[in-house]
Amino acid sequence: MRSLIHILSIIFLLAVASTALRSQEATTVGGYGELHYNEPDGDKAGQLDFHRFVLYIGHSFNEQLSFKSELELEHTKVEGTKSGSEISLEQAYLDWHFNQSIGLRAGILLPPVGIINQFHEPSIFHGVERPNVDRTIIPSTWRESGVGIYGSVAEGINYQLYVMAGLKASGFDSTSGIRGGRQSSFYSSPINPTFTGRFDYTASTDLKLGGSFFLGNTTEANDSLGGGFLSVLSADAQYSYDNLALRVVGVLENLADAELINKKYKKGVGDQMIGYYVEAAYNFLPHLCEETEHALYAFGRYEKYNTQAKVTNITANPLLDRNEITLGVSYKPTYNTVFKFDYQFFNNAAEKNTKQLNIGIGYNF
Amino acid sequence: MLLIHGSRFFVLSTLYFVLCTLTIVEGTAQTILQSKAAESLKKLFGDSVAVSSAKFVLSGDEKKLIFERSKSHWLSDTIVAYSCKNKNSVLGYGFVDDVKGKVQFITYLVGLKQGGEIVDVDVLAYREAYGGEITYETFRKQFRGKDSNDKLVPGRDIKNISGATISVRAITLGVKRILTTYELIKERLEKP
Repeated sequence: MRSLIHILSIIFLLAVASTALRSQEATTVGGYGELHYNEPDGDKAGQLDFHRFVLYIGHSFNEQLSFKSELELEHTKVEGTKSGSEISLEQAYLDWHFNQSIGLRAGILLPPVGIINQFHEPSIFHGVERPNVDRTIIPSTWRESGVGIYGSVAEGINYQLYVMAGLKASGFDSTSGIRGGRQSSFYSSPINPTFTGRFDYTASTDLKLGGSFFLGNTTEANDSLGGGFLSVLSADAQYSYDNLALRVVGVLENLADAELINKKYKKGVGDQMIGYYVEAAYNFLPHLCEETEHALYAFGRYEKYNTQAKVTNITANPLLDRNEITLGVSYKPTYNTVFKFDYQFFNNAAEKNTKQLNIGIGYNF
Repeated sequence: MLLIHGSRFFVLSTLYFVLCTLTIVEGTAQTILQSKAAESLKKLFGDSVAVSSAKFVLSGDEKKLIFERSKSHWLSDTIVAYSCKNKNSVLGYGFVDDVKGKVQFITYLVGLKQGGEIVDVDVLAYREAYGGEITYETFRKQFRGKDSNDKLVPGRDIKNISGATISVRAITLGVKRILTTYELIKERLEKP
């Protein structure tokens, strides 16, 4: 009898203790996704593609320590060698939030360059496709293993500073700039550690300014190539007034030893790559229906970017000096769901211009 | 046999110890929160106010009504309301609440004048890595002067901040719930 009481009290105590522990730990599941229809203007038929299906799993271990992750399936399935389709771990890190001034983050992180690389859910940018400056010049989704600190130094001023594995110059090319140099935490070499960071200034609920950088060598200590020092500097601003939302992003990249890198890999990477875009969006639904919580934005975006803004001993290709105009609408029945429609004009200095129609849906939760 | 009894004793004592520690830790967190809440309310209503707290149990019907009007639930049936008194007159009330951010809880306080108008919203503990902009004056000042007649639609009546959408929505819905709750229980609050 006594042992039965003992066993029962042990079970009771374990139950109480585990409830208490559970009340401190919690797991969060979320995700986002986007279906695209792209139709190039001309003879080609369009394509439907569920471009991204992403699951988030987050876990709070205690009040300070949490885990966050993003697992992505691109283009619905992984089959053979069809390019682009992949399952990838886009983020996975431990976040130790000591207080508002300082926190520590380690794992697969996103270099906090520009706006889209950090915040890329379809409901928070206009246009079916992400801006091409955020694809070609800032190679989103850009991720790498690293460690660093973040926090707030004063009300309105936030920082993020990380050290991570760097880019590989062997992957750089003329068309996509540094994009092919990403290691994406896939057996990444730490031989070129890179320093990246960002400062945000929230001036008011209407105005937010940001500046970011990514600095490091890229030639994996191959002395014959020099260091291949890459500096990525970026600035961005987001302003909203009443129903109007404006966004401006600029990026400047300088690559040292591009001539030596091109001699070895023969891919015509530029010494300098540059890009910017301006975007204006206006929600005109409140004018039609004052009480509505839906939003209907008409937007326009102008992008200009060149992956061979400066070159040494190669001829710059005028096809790479590109500008694009995107005009469209985003209808948001809720803050986290969106129906999109837009038309894009792709122009370049060689005047070989094309156009494209895009329709899409997106969600996040 | 003695050895077995000894090991049982050890296991039981360890479990009691763990349980007590957990209770103490939770108790300490509550105490810190209470002193933070009192400190925050003194900033809103003046250093000389006396802050007292009382628990109120919400009925099932009240909880249902609160959800219909504010689109968010209380996590528990019991809520704590703080009264701020100067001599014999009540200057205002305070409610402390937790809402879920992306992964972590956000603990905040809403200070209300007699009559239910917001004096201020104060974030007592922000544990998320992103979205800390909701603790800034520029965001919080949007709530001042609002009462239960205001709809407080996130993104429309309370402006969003880029990069802080989840926290903005969470706290805005929470504040709306507190305003709605105040309207329902204000007679009970005013009883001495």
